[in-house]
Amino acid sequence: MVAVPQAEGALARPAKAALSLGTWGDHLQVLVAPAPRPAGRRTRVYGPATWLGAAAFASAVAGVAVSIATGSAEAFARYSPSFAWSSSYSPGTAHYATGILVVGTVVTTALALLLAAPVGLGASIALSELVPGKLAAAASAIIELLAAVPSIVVGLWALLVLSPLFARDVEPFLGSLPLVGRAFGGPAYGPSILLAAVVLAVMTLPTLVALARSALAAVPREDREGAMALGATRWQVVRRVVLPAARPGVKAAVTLALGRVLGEAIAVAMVIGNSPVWPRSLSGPGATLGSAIVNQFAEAQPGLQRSAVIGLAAVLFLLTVAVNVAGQSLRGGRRLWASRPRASRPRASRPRASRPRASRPRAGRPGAYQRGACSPSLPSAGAGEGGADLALVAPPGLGTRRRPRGQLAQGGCTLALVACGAPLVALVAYTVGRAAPALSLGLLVHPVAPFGVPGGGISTAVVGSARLLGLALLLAVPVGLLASLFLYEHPGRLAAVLRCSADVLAGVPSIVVGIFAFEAVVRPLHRPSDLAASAALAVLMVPVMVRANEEAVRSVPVELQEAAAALGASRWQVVRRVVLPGSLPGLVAGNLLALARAAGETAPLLFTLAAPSYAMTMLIYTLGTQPFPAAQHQAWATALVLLVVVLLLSALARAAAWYPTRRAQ
Amino acid sequence: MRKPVAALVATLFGLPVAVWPAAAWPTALRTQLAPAARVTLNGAGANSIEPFYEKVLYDYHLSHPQVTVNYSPAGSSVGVSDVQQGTVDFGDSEIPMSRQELAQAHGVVAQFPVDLGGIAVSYNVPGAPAGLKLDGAVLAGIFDGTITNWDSPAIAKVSGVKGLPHLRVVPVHRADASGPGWDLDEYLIKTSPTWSARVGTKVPSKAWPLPQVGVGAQLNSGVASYIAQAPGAIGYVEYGYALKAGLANAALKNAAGRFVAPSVGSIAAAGAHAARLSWDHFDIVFQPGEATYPLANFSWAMMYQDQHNPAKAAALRALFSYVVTTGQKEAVPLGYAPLPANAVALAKSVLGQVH
Amino acid sequence: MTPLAWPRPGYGQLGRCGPAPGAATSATSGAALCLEGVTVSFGAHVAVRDVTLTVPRHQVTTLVGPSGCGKTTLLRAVNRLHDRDGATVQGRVLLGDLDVYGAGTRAEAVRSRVGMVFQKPNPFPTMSIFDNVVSGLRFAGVRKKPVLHQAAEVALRQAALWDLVKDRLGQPATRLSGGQQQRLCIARALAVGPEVLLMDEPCSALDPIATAKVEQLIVSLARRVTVVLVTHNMFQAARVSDHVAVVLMAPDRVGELVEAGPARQVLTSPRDPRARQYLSGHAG
Repeated sequence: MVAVPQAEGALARPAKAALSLGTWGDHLQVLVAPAPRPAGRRTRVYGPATWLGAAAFASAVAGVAVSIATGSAEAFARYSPSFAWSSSYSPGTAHYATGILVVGTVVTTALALLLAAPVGLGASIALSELVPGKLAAAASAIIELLAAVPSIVVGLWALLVLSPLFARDVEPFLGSLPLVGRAFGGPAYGPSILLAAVVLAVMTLPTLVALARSALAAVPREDREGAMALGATRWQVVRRVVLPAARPGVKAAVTLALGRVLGEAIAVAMVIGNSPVWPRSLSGPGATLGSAIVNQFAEAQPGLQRSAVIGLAAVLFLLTVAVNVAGQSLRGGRRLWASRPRASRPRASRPRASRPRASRPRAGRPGAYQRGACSPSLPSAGAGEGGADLALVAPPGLGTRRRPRGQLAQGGCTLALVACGAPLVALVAYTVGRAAPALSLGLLVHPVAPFGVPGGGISTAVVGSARLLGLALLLAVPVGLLASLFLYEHPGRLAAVLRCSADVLAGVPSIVVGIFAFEAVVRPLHRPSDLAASAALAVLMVPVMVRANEEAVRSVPVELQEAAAALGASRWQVVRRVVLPGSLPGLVAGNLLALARAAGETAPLLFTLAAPSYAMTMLIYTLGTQPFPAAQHQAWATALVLLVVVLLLSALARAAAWYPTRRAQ
Repeated sequence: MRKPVAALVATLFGLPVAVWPAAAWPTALRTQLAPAARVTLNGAGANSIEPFYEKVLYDYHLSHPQVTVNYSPAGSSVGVSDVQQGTVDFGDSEIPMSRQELAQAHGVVAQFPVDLGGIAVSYNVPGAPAGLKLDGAVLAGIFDGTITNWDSPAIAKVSGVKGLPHLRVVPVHRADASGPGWDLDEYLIKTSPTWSARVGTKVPSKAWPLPQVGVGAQLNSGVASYIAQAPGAIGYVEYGYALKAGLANAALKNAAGRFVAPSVGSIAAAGAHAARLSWDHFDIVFQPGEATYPLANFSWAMMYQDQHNPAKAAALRALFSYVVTTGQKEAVPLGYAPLPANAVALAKSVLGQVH
Repeated sequence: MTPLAWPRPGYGQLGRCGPAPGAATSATSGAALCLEGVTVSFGAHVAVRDVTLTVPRHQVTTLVGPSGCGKTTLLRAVNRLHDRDGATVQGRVLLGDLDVYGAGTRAEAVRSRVGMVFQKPNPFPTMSIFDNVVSGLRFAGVRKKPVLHQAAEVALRQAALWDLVKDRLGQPATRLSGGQQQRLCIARALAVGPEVLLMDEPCSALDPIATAKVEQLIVSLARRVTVVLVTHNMFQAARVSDHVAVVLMAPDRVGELVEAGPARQVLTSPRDPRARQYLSGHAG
């Protein structure tokens, strides 16, 4: 796609060009004179720098894969291959019942998706098609912001609020239902597979809705109006035109949600009940790969035990990779190895080549369809212009038959929007309500103190989080930018592989990245540190940044670059003066979103941070489970601060992306 | 268009960079003033001791600002493995490192007791009195899932309490491996005729042997929280946590056949019987004595005898001398018993070898 | 082309919709569509003001005017496409005896009697050729396969596309060329059996050859359907129209209908000075 030749030579053109203008000389020279320096250093450095960025990125990907592979090698060698499906549980001897955990993971994920996908799809349809413009825009903005709500906050809410509710009301009620009740039989504990699935669903809904809504909204207006002009009802437009056209995007959204659900560890460990048994009842406790890693990794002795836990991580890793790959191939073919990113408009997707569908003759109203002056032997009628009078008359009001179902579906979608918004609004409102009494200036400026010591605050954690994120940004931003420029400059097989690994890495569960950071940084340095935690966060951020940056950079029109190149700019100058400024809003937005995501992460810090009071998420995790009201208040206050920070970051990202479009108007 | 975007970029990158040095600034200043004296010690280990450590280490930092001690209460096995791998300066565990574990370490490990705690068996049964009498057999029945209701005759018979509600028993165990789990496991092995057959071993384990029964919660705090919020729940938790959470604790049948509830006094009584205390003779579960609470343990600090950094060695010695002496005054209010004299003596002598 | 009685200038006089004076001369004549004081505004901005126009049955009526004057906006008012783009429509639109904006009139009912062809060919990208053609019928609840097949064939023949696509009805509609796609869209609109066919610059995205084909089609369609065509191409208007209505921008940048009448008369000797000025500048 880069039609501009590597034009470094252009800059080497002798500066004397200005002089040769002869008698015009003095005058014109002023205009032309800041003659290009001979082959600037930056120009020479630019190409290698992108290679370096790509190499750094590739080594991060390889590092994760290799550390998981070597870390788990011992367990696989010992038990291979039965390790992956063993069901005997005995942590002391490195038996972690992988088989049960895999089943638990699959069941939990499936249930979460079963809850989230219909609600999310319904809500996104409501937002994009049914709710009037301004309201929908506001609701979409809110939901997109809520996508940044850290999973630890959802987990805290579920643990302290939902769990008692589930034990007392929800689970007994579900268990008492006919038919469905069988799946929810047994004692109601509160913590359960069901609760974990609800947490995962709530956590993933905003992302799902935001992505699915934008996929629906991207269906061209002409398509909708074409259907409307044919007399389609509002629901028919959705059902027959918008949904089929948006299918790839919606699928991608669901896949992404699936990947996130599959890898979530901490929030699940807080509410699933951590009982490694074959799931018999959805309202009974269970365990997933992620929750088992959270509980066992730190405890496992180096050697076989540790290796077996990393083996769990390896299985989880493979599971998520498989899901992502499957999702991407579902999305329509060559995506994974495509040497260029697909056009993001769903319209560009391959249409389904459906043959004239043999629609079953249903018991429609006989004679509902009348031909005017049309002879029964239609095919014999002359073709085209000279044709007989073939006017077809569909009687007005034909659409009535389809109306009730459409109404029902529309009602369902609106309901789904409510069902999607309600828990999120409740969550945020509850957090604010619980945090407000605890929140004070003193809380924000005082360091964390032990229980019972008055005057303790959370400043250690706030500053600690800022420090971690700052360090993570310093690590991730250059790599992300340079690697994306590499992808941009070198279309081809290598870039395709890198792009694919970015997608894979983006889908790797954060707990796995935490293990990587432990193996790669904590162990060699012999201590947990900010550096280790930041490295883990950076590894989580980089793939998101690479893809977002690349998209941003590619949005700059080729014509502009060619114009710059034609003026004699070197490749670096084109990038510096045209590409980067043009894509700046996109770059800022993408990096900010990655930062917002990292700010809410807990799992990667679990094994890498020196003490839990050095990050807000970890503080919430440790304080929130304390049985003392004072600690819980502090946890909620921290959650509110974290929520505000994360929401601000993602609001900034939205503003950055939105600002230039507003300016252009 | 440039300016706001530029401002955004400045915020994005500038803010953390600005905050970072600001956070480190007092530290840096102190380092400037007294570069040699400044020490950071990282520790990790038992969750049960955290309230005690947190308070003592906090006090110590207030009086010795040049020393910063981080303690990560991730679990007692973390203490062991982190010491083995050398990722911390000191570890902590209710169960000191075994010969096997020591063999995997990269040097001689000094181990000494730092506090004395007890494990409460706490429950949340509306209408039930505090100090419900339970023995090993009943507890084993509860934790292996054979006793399913609070009005079960077995509970009524041992406790002597009639009219407990018809409420399902929800046994809560630790999702992670833990010292309290080890203690209760040992108590059940020693006192229940069926337990060791059910779990298939007579060797106590830190990882809870029957995680398939009931609910697994994370750390002491998770167990205590769950018991506090779920009627019918019963679980084992460090006494300090149970005390602060205001949970009702069972009176357990001790070796003398008496039912004793956990308290600082009854835990201290268990500690008093540890005559030949050392790292390979640490077990004080089910000690004799009429007033002795049967579930008690010391918490053991672990560190390498040969510290390569003399400043660190000195800091560790000073810190832990403080912990085992002056620091013990914090124990009682937090629900721990002060170390008995022989334990303090052991700690001091072992600590003296750290250099 | 038979010059038909044009209801005396719709413009400037708040005429009433109804049997046009002298309209009974032909069996097929009479108003298929009647606009009465139609004003379309987007929020505070008025796009088209007070348009009164009667469209005779089974004829081609063309709206001409400079781009941006509101021709398309006016056209979209006929089948209530403004319902969802934030515009408000005032005035009355009568489709036969159906009050398009009357209380209790459903937009879908109007639209199933009014076909529309858009500027850019817009076959549904996810549907096959066949599915595209019969989509309107499916929307209307028709499910019987033979009926659909027959309707598809008739509509495709009317759009002069049948011979071209009869062997590949199952292929995606997007594989057709631009001109073919536009004819497919016409077939799609015809399959519902509309009384009125609205065509919004249907040739603006087509090459000359495809344009010629579509123009031919328009002329032939007018025997069966009332066509309302929007174009800014004066030559096209001259080639296909029976009647022409000129929409121009008033000094306050609001679209107004300045003249309407038989094609030859309006295009060659417009009565309104503004129309004369515009037409001499363009078609001159």
